Amino acid sequence: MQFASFAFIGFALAAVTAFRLCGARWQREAVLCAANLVLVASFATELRELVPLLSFLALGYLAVCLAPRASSLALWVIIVAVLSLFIWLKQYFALLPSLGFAYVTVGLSYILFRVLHLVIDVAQGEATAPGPAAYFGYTTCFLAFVSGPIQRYQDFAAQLETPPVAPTSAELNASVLRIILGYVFILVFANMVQRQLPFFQSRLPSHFDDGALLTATGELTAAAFLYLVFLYVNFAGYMHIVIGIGRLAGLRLPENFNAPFHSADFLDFWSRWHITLSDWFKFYLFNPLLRVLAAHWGAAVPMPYLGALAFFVTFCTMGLWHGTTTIFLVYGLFLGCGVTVNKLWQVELARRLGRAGYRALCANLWYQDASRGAAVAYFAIALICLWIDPAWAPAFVSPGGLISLLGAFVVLTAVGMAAVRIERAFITRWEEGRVRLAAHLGRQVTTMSAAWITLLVSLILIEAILKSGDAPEFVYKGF
Amino acid sequence: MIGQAVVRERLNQVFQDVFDDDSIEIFDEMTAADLDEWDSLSHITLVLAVEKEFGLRLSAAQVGNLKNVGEMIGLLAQRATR
Repeated sequence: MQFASFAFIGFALAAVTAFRLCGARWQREAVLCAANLVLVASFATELRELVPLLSFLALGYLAVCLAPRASSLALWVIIVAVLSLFIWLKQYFALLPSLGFAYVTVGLSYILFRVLHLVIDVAQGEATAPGPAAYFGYTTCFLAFVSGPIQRYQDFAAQLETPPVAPTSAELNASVLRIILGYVFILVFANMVQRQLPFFQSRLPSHFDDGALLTATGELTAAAFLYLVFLYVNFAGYMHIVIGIGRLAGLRLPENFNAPFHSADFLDFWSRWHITLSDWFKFYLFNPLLRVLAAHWGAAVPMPYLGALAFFVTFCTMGLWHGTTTIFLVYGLFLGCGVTVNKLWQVELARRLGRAGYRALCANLWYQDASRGAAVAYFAIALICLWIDPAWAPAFVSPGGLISLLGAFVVLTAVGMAAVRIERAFITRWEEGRVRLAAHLGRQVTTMSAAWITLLVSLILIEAILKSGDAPEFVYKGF
Repeated sequence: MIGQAVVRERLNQVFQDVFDDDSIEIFDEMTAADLDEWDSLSHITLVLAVEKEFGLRLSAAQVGNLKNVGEMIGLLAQRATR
C-alpha cells in the first residue's frame, strides 16, 4: 500500500477509529494485529510471498519466548539464528541459495531490530515476553512497519494498557497539521528536489574524465546537497505522517529527527538523525562492544582508542545495514572514518590545549560554525554512496574525482558555515516571526472543525497526487 | 538494600575518580550535558566503575537508558550487592 494513496488514508482512518473505540486491551491488540495484517498483506500478490516474512516473525517469537531461560551461550545461539535467517532472506551475499521466488522483505530490517531488542531485554529481565498478539502488534505495527521508527517495546506496550485519552481539539489539529505537513514534504518538496537531481548527477563521470574539474565540483556539490535535502524531506515527511496518525490513534511514536542540521559535530549528528536507529546501535552494539573492549584492554589501551574502534565497528555495521553491495561497505567505512576521526580529533585537541584551552576553542563561534558546516557536509558526501551508479566508482576514485569530492566537501562546509552565520544574524527576528506565525495559525486552525480539516487534507492530496503523478518512494523502505 | 544517602556518597566518589576531578558534586537532575567530560566513552568507563563499586551488572537497557544521576541512585539503592 502506497502512503500517498486514498487507500492508505482510508485504511489509516479506519484503523485509528477502530483503535479508539476499543475499551479492553485485548480489543486494542486485535485491532492493531488486524491493521498490521492488512498493511503487510498489501505488499504481496499471493500468500507464499508472505511466508518468508511470517517465518522470520515466528522464529523471532520463538527466540523471545526462549530468551528468559537462556544461558548466555544459548542467547548467543538464538541471536545468531535470528541474524542468519535475516541475512539469508535479505540475500546479503550473492553465494547464498535463493528461494526461487520473489517475496516481501519490506519492513524486515525494522522487525529484526525490534526482535533483537526484545530478545536481549527479555533475557536481561528488562521486559516480560509479550503474548503472540502483543508481539505481532509491536513488531509489525502498521505505523512503523515500512520505515520505522524503532520504538522500544516497553514504551509501546505501556500505551496499550489503558484506552487512549480523548484528544483535545488542539491536539487533534496539531496531529492533522502534522500529517498534512508530512504529505507536503513527500509529495511536493521531495518530488521537487528529486526532479532536479538527474541534471547534476548524470554528467558527472564525463566531467571527471574531461578534466572539467570546476564544473564537476559544482555539479557534485549541487547533487550532494540536493540528495541530502531529498533524503531529509522524504524521511522526515514519512515521520510526520506516521507520528501524526499515531497521535490520532492515541499512540505516541518516538521522534527520529531533532534538528539534525544544528548538529555541533559529526558525532552529535547521530543523536539527531534517525535517532531510533542510532539509539538501537548504541544500546545493543556500541555500548556492549566498548564495555567488552574496556573490560579486557582498558588497562593497556587508552579509552579514546578503544572508543574509536567501537565507533568504527558500529558505523561500518550501520552502513552495511543499508544494503548488500560493496558501495554500502564503502558508505559504512565512510561513516566509521567520520566518527572515528571526529572522536580522535576531540581527544587530541583536548590533550594539546588542555581542558580550559579546549573549552575556549569550543566556545569560539568560528570554530563552532566550521564544525557544524563540516558535519553536515561530510554526511552529504558520504550519502553519495546511496545514489551513484556503481559503474561510476572508478571515476570517483580517479584524481579528478577525488579533487572534486574534496572540493565539494569544502564548498558544502563553507555553505553550511554561511547558513549558520545568517541564521544567527536573524535568529531573534526569526524566532519572533515564528512565534507570531504559530499563534496566528493556531488561532486560525482552532476555529476550524475537524471535518473542514479533513476536507482540506483531501483537497491537498488530490491536488498533489494529480500534479506529481508519481510520489517518490520512501528511501528508508528499501533498507 | 542500601540507603540512598550512602549510595550517593559512594557514587560521588566514583564520579570524582572516573572524571579525575575532586570538585564534582553529583545531584539528582545531573545528566551528561552537565559534565563536559561525560561522553559516550566515559559513560562506559563510569558504568564499569559503578558495577565494580556496587557489585552488580547493569543490563543493556539500563546502560543506555540511564537518564540522570537520580535514577542511577534509585537503581543502585535497589540492586547494589555491596
